[in-house]
Amino acid sequence: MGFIMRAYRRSNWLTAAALTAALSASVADAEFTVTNVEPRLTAEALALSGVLDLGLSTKVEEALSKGIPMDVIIDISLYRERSVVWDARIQTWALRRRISYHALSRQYLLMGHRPDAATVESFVSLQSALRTMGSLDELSFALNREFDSNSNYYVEVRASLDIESLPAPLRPVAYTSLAWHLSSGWTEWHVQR
Amino acid sequence: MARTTLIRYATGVVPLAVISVLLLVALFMMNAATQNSELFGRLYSLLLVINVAGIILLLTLILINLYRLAVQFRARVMGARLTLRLFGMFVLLAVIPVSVVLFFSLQAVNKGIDSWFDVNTEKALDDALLLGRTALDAIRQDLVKTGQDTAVELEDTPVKLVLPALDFLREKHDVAELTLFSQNGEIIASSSQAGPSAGTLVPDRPNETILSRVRQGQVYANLDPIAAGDLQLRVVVPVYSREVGAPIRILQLLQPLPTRYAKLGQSVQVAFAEYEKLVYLRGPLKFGFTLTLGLVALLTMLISIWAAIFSARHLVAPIRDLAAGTHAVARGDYRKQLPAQGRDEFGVLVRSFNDMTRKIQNAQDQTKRSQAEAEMQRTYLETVLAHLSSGVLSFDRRNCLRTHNAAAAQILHMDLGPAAGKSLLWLSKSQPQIADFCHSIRDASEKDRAEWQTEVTLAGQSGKRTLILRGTMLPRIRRRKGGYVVVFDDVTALIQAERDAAWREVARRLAHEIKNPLTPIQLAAERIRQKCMSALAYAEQTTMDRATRTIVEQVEALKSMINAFSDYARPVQMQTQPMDLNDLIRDVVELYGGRISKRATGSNDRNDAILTKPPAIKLGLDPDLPNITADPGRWRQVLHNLLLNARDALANNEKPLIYINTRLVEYARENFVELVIEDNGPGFPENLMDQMFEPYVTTGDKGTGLGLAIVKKIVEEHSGTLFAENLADSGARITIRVPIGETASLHKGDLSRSSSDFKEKRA
Repeated sequence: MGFIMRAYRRSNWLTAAALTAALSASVADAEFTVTNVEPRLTAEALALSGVLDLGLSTKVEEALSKGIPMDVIIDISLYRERSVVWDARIQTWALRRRISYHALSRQYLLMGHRPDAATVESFVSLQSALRTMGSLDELSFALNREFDSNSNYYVEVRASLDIESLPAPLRPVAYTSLAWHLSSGWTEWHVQR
Repeated sequence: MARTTLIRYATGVVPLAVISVLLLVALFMMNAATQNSELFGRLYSLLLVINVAGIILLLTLILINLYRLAVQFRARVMGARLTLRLFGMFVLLAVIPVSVVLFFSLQAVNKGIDSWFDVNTEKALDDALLLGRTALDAIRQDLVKTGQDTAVELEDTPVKLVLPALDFLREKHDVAELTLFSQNGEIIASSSQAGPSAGTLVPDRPNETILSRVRQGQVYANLDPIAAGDLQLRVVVPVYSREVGAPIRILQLLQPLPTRYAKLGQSVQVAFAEYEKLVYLRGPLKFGFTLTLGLVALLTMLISIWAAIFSARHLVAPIRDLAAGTHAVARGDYRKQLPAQGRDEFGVLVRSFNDMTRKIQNAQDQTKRSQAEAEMQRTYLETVLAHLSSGVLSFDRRNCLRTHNAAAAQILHMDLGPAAGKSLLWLSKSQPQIADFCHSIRDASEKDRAEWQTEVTLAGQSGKRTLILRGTMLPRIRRRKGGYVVVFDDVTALIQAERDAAWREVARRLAHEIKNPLTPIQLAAERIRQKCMSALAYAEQTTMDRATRTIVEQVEALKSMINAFSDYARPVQMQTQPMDLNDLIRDVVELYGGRISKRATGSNDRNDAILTKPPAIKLGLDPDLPNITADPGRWRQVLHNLLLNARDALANNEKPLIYINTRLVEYARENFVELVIEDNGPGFPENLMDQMFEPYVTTGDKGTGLGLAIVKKIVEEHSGTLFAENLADSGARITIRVPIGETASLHKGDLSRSSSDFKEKRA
């Protein structure tokens, strides 16, 4: 950011504006978005399908290509609407998906996206790996209580890069840099019956 | 108060020490985390936050302490300046070495981290990876060829025979798994040898990306990492149909790498990946170490600063106490005791200070006791002097009056208060009536004698008074001449009393010696007359008769005179009672009012008629005059004698006038009833003024000359004083003062009753 400040000081407004626009554009590409989620309640479980657009920033991509695995956590919370007081949170789940780079085979390996946690899937391109990573294919989450058929339910979904899973030396850098703060924020999706 | 205590406690030594220890522990853990410790790795971020927050807290506490120090410095609190100076010194001593250590540590750490990386190592690893890839490529190419051959062989295989064909071809080409998919990716048939993956029901399916590539006619061949770190080769090839328009099928060959290759490949992968990771993490690692070292250095500095504050305070505390103590001593508070310190030099200093103040306090107490004793002595002396009947004056060596007592003022008839500190010269000039007194003292003192005595006569309103002065030189102080003390007494009354006593003795002897022969003389004369008268001739008889009568008459006169003397000399028994002088004056004056010739019988020193114009008597009587304790009979005589004396003096006056005045006067803090009788006669002869009240001092040829002497005697019997003086133009005045005594406190009712009693008694 220092060079932007210097550009501002020099009153070179055009350059400064261009730099700011370029930076915000790169930050805008590198973001997690919950594109679509279709939650459904069955008798004993919450079924979920959806697509998350996981865009990595250049810094994260570079770290990934250097062999540092990245964990993306998908948080899912089920709420029951209430008219008088705040909505009741029924249950929460967290999915952890890991992507890493395999230098020998020049492939990206994806873990945790299948019900079998040990399954490793390899992808030649990062985009296809991220696409698979962000896909929620008919996931089923068991409910620990029966749902009320008269109430309305909704889920909140958030995808975020887990900085705490990074190597310790990288964490202070990640915490202090915007490029590492990748999170979709909470998005709300109504549950269908 | 509670808030102040809380702040004091919160910024005290204990919380700071606890925070410091906790932070050191947290830093140790963070350092371990930086070095990839499993235990603390997960806590790294939390530790970082704890450390930063702790340091901020420590910084805040130190800033509070510094602020308090600055406030004290600004308020010029004792010791604040020294504390600040010591604090600055300690901080310099602590911060500079820590900064140097930090600088070199950072240098060493950075260089150490850089030294992990080597271009040759990097190149070797790259080459190893390339080699691995090349080796694997050869195997892959073989498998691709096998796949393509197999695909050709399967081109015209009907669906029913696919499975046996796959089994055959798998065994033929020695492939681990052969799977045939339809165009849309559904499994048609699969054959696999018994192996690690034989247990799985569903064959491994290539992902959609691979399938789409193959549908486009491309061949996919790649190394797939599988679970547990193993590697397998995956080759996917299209299987064309010989029938036109028939959909293509997809054949997948899976072949695990030979164990040797797999291990080598895995080893190269792991080493390369680790190295790449390290290279990438070089910057963050440096940052992490710098952060840890920086935090350690900052914490060390902050603890040093904190320690500097407390050390400075601890060192300065006894100095501040000492300074406060010296201030207190300077203010005169010698009871100040400082809190006991340790056994170091400060402790010795504090104990010495306490000893000093204790000794000063003792000395002070002693001085105060001495002063109190001196004061008591002075008061005692003053009391003694105040109650002395003798006048006491003390002068310093410059003849200035230092002390005087009440009797001195009373004897000198003046207020000596303004004269204190003034010289004798000033006194003689400002008070001319005691000029002789002052001169006598000065003359005597100039002679430098240890003791001297002199007599001084002072003239005043109450006549001449004789004072006897005795002077004593005070001891010398530091070889300088001291002052002197003069003690004096009014001996006028004493001299007068002696003179009166002498007179009374003369009168008594005279009466005794003369009166005895008088009766025989008188009888002898009468017998001579009786016996010899008839024997004589007529002419001689006449002579004899005249002579004997003369003898008898003169003897009679002598007898009267002797009787008068006897009366004068005889001690009288007083019958005192409360008496209103005004009433008595009115009674007596009534006797004289308009009466010309014969005079009152009460007087025994007048026998002749006075044929003169009666004097007019004017009374000026004070209506508020209190009663006096007196013998009314004797006072009646006083008034008679005085009125007769005045009338005699006015014998040749054409307008004889007598004034009688009474009033209440205060003199020397005592109340007196004053009786003044004035006439407009010729006044007393100047040469007789001194002996006016002595017996046989008279201006006329009548009387015994005892009139005024008796007046004086009676007045003195009533503790009164009297004096005579001539008026400025013409006339004489006699003033009598009688102390009121206890009867002064009588009420008006008592007064009237006393007066009526007296009148009744008189009647």
